[in-house]
Amino acid sequence: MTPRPASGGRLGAPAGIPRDRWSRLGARAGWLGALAALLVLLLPAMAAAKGTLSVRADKKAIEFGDTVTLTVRATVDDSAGGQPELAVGDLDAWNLVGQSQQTRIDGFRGTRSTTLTLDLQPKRTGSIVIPPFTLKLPDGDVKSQPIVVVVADGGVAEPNTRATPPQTGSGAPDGTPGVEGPPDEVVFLRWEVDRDTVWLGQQIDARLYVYIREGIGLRDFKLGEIDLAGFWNERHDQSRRRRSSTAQIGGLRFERQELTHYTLFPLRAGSPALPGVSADMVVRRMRAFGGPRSRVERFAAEVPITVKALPTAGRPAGFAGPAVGQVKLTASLDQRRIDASQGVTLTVVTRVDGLVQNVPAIDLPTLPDFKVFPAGDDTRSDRRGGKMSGVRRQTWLLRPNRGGRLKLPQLEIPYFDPAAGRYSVARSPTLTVQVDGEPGVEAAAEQPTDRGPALRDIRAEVDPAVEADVGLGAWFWGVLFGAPLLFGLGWGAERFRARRDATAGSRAARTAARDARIALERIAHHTDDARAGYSAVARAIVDYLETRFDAPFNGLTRDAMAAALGARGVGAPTIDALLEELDACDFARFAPAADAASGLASAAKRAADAVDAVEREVGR
Amino acid sequence: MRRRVGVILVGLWLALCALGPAAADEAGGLAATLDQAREAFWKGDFAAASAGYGRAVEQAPRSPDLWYNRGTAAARAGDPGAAMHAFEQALLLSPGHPDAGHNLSVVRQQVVEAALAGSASETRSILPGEDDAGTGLLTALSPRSLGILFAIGWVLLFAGLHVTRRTSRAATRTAASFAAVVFGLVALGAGGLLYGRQAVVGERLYGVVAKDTAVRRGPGEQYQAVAAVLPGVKVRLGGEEGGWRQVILPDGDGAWMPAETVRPLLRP
Repeated sequence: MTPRPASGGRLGAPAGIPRDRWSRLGARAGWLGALAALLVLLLPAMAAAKGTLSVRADKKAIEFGDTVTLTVRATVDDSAGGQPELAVGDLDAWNLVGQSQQTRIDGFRGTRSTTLTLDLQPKRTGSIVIPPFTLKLPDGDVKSQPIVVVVADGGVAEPNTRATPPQTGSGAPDGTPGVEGPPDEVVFLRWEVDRDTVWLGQQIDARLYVYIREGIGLRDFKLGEIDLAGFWNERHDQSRRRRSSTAQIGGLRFERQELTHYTLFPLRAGSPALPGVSADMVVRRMRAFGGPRSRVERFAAEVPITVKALPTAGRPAGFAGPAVGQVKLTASLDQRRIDASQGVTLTVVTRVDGLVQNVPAIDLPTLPDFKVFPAGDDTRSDRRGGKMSGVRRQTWLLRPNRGGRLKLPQLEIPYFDPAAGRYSVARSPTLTVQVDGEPGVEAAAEQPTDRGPALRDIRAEVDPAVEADVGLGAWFWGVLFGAPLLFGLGWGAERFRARRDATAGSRAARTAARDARIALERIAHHTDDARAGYSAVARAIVDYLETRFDAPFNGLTRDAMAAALGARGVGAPTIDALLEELDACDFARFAPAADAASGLASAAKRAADAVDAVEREVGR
Repeated sequence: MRRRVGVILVGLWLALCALGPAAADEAGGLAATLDQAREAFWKGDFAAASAGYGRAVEQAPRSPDLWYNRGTAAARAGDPGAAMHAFEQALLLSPGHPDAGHNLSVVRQQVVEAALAGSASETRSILPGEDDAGTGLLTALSPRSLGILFAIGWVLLFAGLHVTRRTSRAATRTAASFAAVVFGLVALGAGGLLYGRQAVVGERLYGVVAKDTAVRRGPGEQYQAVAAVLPGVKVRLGGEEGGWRQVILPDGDGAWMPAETVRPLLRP
């Protein structure tokens, strides 16, 4: 099959066309060439004598920059022969931006269905006709209906150009009140805030999202700088993986990914704005075999915030900060009853649903009944669920100047409640402490509370030689390596002992021969009583055998002894030699004394030879 | 040979004689400086006290108490940048220093209040926060505390393993195994924090902004200002170029500021 323009196909160039225009036309022809090549690939699939052809477009009305997906489905008789042709009309008004093909063979019906999907992007606005496709078959052509697509000027430029869809943090998704629909059908950025009218110092939860159309993938996403001038910003930690959710906007499904999240505190009244933010990215249509990709830039529009100045009317005395948010004040004593010589710790906790740094610390009023020692101040901020809150814990050590029931006055922090839109005052309860007895003269003579500025004074006595000991000493390395070393040594010792116990028998066996030789040597040279000497030789042999083989030999008959030795690997000649020697010893004990004395040394020598023979045969 | 050894010994003795008075002079000089600074502080001449303690910390830079005094004097003298730098340094050297933590909090509060009360700036303002460097967890415990915690966990881990190996009772073995796992986790956690502290606090170089400064995109006045940084903001220090220091701001953005406006913190 050769795809050919059914009418008006422009695969050539008229003479006289300028070179650059010629190259543009060449590029267009390239798209058509690609389409033609694809149709050539489809040729075998469509080679059938009978068949059907359907062409459908997913949309009949689009905005400029959007795409139409054209589905061409050809079903032919797989068994029939012939060389059908598929022809397509003039597609010059379109850019082919994506294509895919799927073939299905139905063996039961004997048909082959091929589905060709083409993504077409218009080159102009207005009504554009997608001409009919023709499937040429031997017994007649099958022709599809032309499709008219209306392309509106939606104000959206081509994907690789700068687009500025209107976006706001509130109202309809496209920023136009009452109009539903996304600002961009592919991808767009948007600030979202929990409120756009706030009081000075009131917190705003601001998140920047990217909306990605379902079936679209993003790569190389680069977010531009975010300049939050006019706000004290607290950025929430971002995990590597963006939080995402799905959103339905104007009937289209988008994946919404959180790019960044701030809690903002306006620093001045007026109309500051969340800044416009740009992002550069590569957009890719997700397809099984890869889709078209293009680099685009998108912008999140500025979001104006109305910041109302805190009212002057009703402002309580001592209001500072500005302390804005719900403030709660609690005070407690660690003891309710003390001796006059003791102290009591006063703890005041300030909790604020806002920026704790803006809430002034409690400055204790003059307490004539107490001497005040400032002890500590611990301020912590917390960010949960997009809200900032903070806790300040201040503690003082109080020593009574007199006995009796002493009262600690109520503490106050004026603040502005943004939810109610008015000032309020957080108050702690009045506390009392019972002081038993009277303090000593020294304590009473000390001046009552006047701790001056909140700063603590210098340390009068400083030894410069006392340096910070922040390093790890030798003990640390000793523990680090010593603990596993000791454990290893213990383990090794245990294994050594077990092995020693296991080999103790064999070692005793090895020493048996040496002991027997020593005993026999002693008998041969140092025994005056020949009869006793023969008896000792026999005992040395039997002791040797019992130790060597860890088995009883004493009292066995000669046959039993021969069998026991044979079972332990001793050869017959050696067994015979041993038994003969034992017999000889028995005999010599009853022989005349002179004969016995003359043969004792040689008997001991033979017995030693027999022991050596056993050792050689049994081995170690 | 004996003669040569004698010459060496005499040489050593002479060197010691020369060095001894020099060291004594140095110690005596430091003591005198401290006396003068303390006297100036009690007289209310905080600028002189701050300068005196500044000279003292140059001679004994690893004394947290000296840094604390330097910070307190600077705070009283109205130099919050130098004060917060000194308090941060004291806390870096001695994480549990209560006075330094208190005074740092007080000065920070004063700086923030002054910033909020002042005229609004068109550029973003970066105020000193509780833990600008984001190293709170790592610096909350001193290396010594972490080391002790690690050592306890480590030793008890091996003790548990030893008991597990030695005992023949199933219940004892189970308990010892469980204890070994628990103490192993303790040692792992403490060791991890110790390593993290070394990797983050020990290796990275931080500095404290000394005065109101506009940070810029590049090393020079010709670059656009991206934010106004207040005194006391802790920043991570990068390279230096032409009198400009590259810094990582608390929000993670990189910027440049004049090198003299940021004081590096001494690594613990």
